[in-house]
Parts: sequence; C-alpha cells; structure tokens
Amino acid sequence: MRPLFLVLASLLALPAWAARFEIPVQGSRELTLAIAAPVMPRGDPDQKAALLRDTVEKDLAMTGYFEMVPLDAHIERGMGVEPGSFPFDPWRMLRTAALVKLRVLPAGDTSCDPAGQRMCLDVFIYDVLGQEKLAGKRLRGTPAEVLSIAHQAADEVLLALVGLRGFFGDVLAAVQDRTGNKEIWLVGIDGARAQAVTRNGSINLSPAWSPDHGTLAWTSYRRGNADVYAKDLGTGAVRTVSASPGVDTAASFSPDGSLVAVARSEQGDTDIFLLDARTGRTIRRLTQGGGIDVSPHFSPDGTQIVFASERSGGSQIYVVDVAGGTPRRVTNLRGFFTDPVWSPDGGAIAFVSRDGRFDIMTIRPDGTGVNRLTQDQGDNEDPSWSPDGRYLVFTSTRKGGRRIWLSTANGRHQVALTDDAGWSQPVWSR
Amino acid sequence: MSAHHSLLDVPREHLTPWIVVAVGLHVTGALTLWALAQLDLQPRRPLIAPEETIEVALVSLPKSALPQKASRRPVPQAPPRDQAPAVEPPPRQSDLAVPSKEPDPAPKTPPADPRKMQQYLDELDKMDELLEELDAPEGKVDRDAASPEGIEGAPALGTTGAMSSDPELAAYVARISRIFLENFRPIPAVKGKGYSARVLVQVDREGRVVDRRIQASSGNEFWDRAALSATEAVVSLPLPPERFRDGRADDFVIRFEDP
Repeated sequence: MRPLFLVLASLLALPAWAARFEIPVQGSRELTLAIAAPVMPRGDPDQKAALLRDTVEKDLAMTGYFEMVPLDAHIERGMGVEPGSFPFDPWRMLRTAALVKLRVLPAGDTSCDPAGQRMCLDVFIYDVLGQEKLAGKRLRGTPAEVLSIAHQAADEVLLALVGLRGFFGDVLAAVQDRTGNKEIWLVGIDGARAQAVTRNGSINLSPAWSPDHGTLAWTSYRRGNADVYAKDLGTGAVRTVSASPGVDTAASFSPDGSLVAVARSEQGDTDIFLLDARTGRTIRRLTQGGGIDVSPHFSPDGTQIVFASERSGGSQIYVVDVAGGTPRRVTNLRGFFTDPVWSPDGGAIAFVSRDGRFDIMTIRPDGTGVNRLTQDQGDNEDPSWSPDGRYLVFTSTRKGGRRIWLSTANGRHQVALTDDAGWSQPVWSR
Repeated sequence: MSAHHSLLDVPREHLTPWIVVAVGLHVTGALTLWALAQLDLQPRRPLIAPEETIEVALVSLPKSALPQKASRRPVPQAPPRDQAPAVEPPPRQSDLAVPSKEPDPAPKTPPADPRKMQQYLDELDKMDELLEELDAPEGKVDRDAASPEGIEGAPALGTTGAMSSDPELAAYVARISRIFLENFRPIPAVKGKGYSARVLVQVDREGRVVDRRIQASSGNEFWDRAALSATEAVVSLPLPPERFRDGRADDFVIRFEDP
C-alpha cells in the first residue's frame, strides 16, 4: 500500500495556488463617473442640454465621491438611454465605473405631461462593470425650472451611488457686500439662485436659521445700533428679537426653536444671554465678566452652548451649560480662536484659528482630536456645517476675493461654490 | 505436456502481487485524473477578446481614436453572478423606473473628438506608467480610504514569513498596493461595511499579468466587481527585488479591504 499512499500524499500536497505575495489594498479611489450628453427633443437648443448636464456634473463633482470622465472623451454618443439601447464597452474602455444617462421629454409629450406645461427629465444610473441599471427616475417641472430639475437629478444619482440624501437644492444664507453695504442674501449651494433678504442699505451680519428653516435671524445696524431681528421667510414679516442699549449680535436658535442665544454688551463687557425666541425676553445670563464672550452656538441636544471668550487672555473656545454654571475651556492650544459651531451629531466643533492667517479647524468637545481643514490657502473663515455633518461651508480668499467654499468634514476635498466674491458668514439650510 | 500456459494455470499466490500492482495503478490513474479535473485548466482569457473588439467596432469607434497600446487597457469583465451573491447592494429605485420610450430621438450631440479622447486615454496611460515605472507618489485617497500609513506601513505579507521583515520587500509590496489602489473604485454605497475580497493575479516571468480571478468573494457583487476591475486595469507589475526573483512566473493575492 505504500506506493498508493505516496501518490495520494503527493496529490494532496499540491497547492491549488501557491501565491508568493499577498498584497493588502486598504482604501479606494473615487468612483469614475460619466454623465453622457442628454438626449434632447428635436428643436431644443443645445445650450439647454449643456446647462442640464453641466449642472448635474458640477453638483456631483463637489461631493468628492466621484472622478468625472470628461465629456469630450466620451466615445459612445447619441445612442439610447434605456437598458439595451447602447453598448457598455465604449464606457469600459474609458474605465468608467458608473454612467448617468439623461433624456428630456418636452412639455406636451404624450408620455410625459400631454395636457400640462411640464417637461420631464428621465435619469438612468448604470453600473458599467455589472452592465446593469441601478436606478431610474422621471422628474417633472416647468421649462423654467430646468435648473431645479437638474439638481434633483443629481440628488437621485447621489442616492443611488452613495446612499446619501442629495443636498444640491439646499440654500445658504450669507452676507454679501458687493453693493458697498452688507446685506443678507440667500444663495443656492451651487452658487446660483441668489436673492436678497435685506435691502436696508445698512450693515447686516450673522444670519442664523431657525430649526424649521422658516425664519432667519440676523444682526443689523439698520437703526444705528446692533440689534437682532428675525424675518419670517414665508410672510416676510420682520420682528425684533433683541434690542438692548448695547450691542446685540450673533444669534443662535436652540434645537427646539424656543430659545435664542445672543452676545450682548452691557457696561463695557460682552456676555452670552439666553432669550425667549418668540418674545425676546431675557431668560438667563450665561456668562459674566472675565472678558468678551461672543459667537454663541447651541449643541445639537440643546443642553450646552459653545462660544469664544477672551477670559484667559487670547480668544479660546469654551462651553457652558444652558442651565448655567462655570464655563469649561475646550481649546488648550496656543493661538487665537473664534467662531465656534457645533456639528449636527455633536461630535465636533469647527472654529477659526487666527494665527497670522485665518484657518478652519475642528476639535472634539472634550478638547481632543484637533484637525486642521485649511492651511496656506489664503484666509479661511466662517465655518458652517451641512445638516448631515459630512460637509462644511466657509469663506476663503485663496482665489482672490472672498468666496464661499465647500469642504468635506475631514478637509480632504474642497471646492468653490460661488464664482463671485464679496461673500461672508454663510450658514447652511436645507 | 504443452509449452503454453494460460494465466489460469499460474498458481494463485503468484498472481496476487500483480493484481495489487494493477489495481494500484488504476486507482492512481483515476485519482490523478480526478485531481486534474479539480484544477482550473481553462484556457487563459486574452486581454482583449476578439468579440469585444467587434462590439466596439459596432459603435463606430473612430479608428484613429483607438488606443495605440491596447494591451494597457484590457476590457474589464464582471465576475460570474454565482461567484458573488449580492448582500447589500446600493439603494435601488428600479420600482420607480421610467416607462419605456423607444426609439430615442435622433442624436444631437456632436461626434466624439478623437483627439480629446486620445488625450484622456493617454493621461490614463501616463498615470499607469508613473505608477509602474517610478515609485509613484501616493494617490489622492478618498474620504473613506485608509490613512496613508495604512498603505505605506503595510507589512510585506509574502507566503514565507521571513519576508515580512525585509524593508526592501515591504517597499515593493507597498508599491504594488498603490498600483491597485489607484484602480480600485467601488461604488461609495458599499464602502464602510467592512468588505474584503481576494483576487488572484498571475504574472509571467517578465511581470506581465496573464490571469486574474476572484479567489475569495467579499459577499458583495459590487465590491467584487470593483476589485476584479482594478486588477484588469493593470497589465504588468514591477518585478520583485533582485534577491526575491527566481526567474519563474509569480502569483499575487491582492486583498481589497475596506478599512
């Protein structure tokens, strides 16, 4: 039996695949995404197709999840948008991993809205490697709403490929000084759709959204003194929130909308006060003496307020309980730190470091985990978190003028949102 | 007395060793055939299959725009369906799919610009060359990727334990890792879920990739596809450090991990 045993043993000892090297690949690159030129109805001007496609591409490029395959490199053009109506190989050749196809149906089209005035945009999202459709959606709107429809299309792509709610239709409130005054404006996350909230020819600063995003509070010198006002964006009604003899500034709504924190100066010192958001009545004075306390911002659970204070000499970041008590210092770093804003999940506070240049940093509320988001790229100020906490908007002078920029929360991907300058203090709504 | 004897005439005790040998040979032969059948001896797939070239021609690909170095861009192949069952595909909205509307309107977009397309393909080539011929700088890693230390400091995981502490080999492994990292682009929706796929990459003695296949599925078809596609975008690998060359073909197991 020995020969048989030896044969068996030698067969079993043969390795199936004896790899000499095992290589770990930890991490990945951005998904290569191609957005094909939209299929348009006959007679439609090509500019609309370009506008549509460019909007979707710009939206998705700002997220940092994708690497775009440039349009002029596309091989397959003008074929169908539905499964089976075009080949995948030309896209594979360009190493495209995901493909978006768009088709416009004009108002009056029998399969879209035959009786109405609305156009349709069909969005098809494909996995090129798997050669299958991941999602498809028909979006409707009037021809005048083409940009809004394009943003919705980008939202659909982000949901299908990343699994996240799109934010391309979101709105920022910000200060714009192009006219020589400082006025509050609303501007789309794409840097377009700008519209004025104030036109009082004065100095208007520090916009703040109410939790339901129906009301915007801000600081204005419209009556010669810095006071806090609030505007109902639905009715246009403006009311005074805080108007003490001193300076009232930098409002922050509590998460339930019932309270407003402001920085108020009394007898030469500036402290943090808690007010009733509806009546403006003072509920509590949270800080006293010890230097200037400014820029209050509620924690997402509404139990604490972060603010900047000069009580220790240079400006540092502190946290105080809404119920009162001794403020706790968060930053124990050498430098001058201002404008703290608490992240929506409560895990981080973004702030500005003023050390020669202005830069955006984040820190955990317990004072650990300091992370620098900007460096050697002009002055970077005014951070504000996205509702999901994955991004921040801020202003930067890195390309001349003060523009609004977007950054991922870790700072790795940053992109300008506005082409024009003169912006400051953007705050993110939805 | 006849001079001819039949086997029947041989005493039984003399035949027994021969019967054992014959049975042994039969069993050995059968086992060998069985073992060979277990090995995957399918012919190796060419980098660009002829039928795929024909498919490309069907879309009127401008001839001048074709990449000159076709072998640098093998057409990716999706892994077989049964190899990687979908566990957590990205969100689907197929239920909301738009109704069919055919045929599509006539194309209104201008034809592809062969010069631009070639330029884009050349850029892809250039990136590959940088990675393959130089010790390429670390690529831009996305927000969900591992820290750079995760790549730079990756231990050399050769099958022989002594290799893991060799700095030259560690650098080589890190270099190979970067080449595949640059081409690994899974759908973001499947990131952050801890998937890990192993792809076997076989190279010939000159470093040319001659085959690649999923050795161990991640359990997610999108992750597996991206992993296989990352290996299909690489047509050759740098040779190991001189001390580790043995003049033979090599096998690499590439472990695509979600950090």
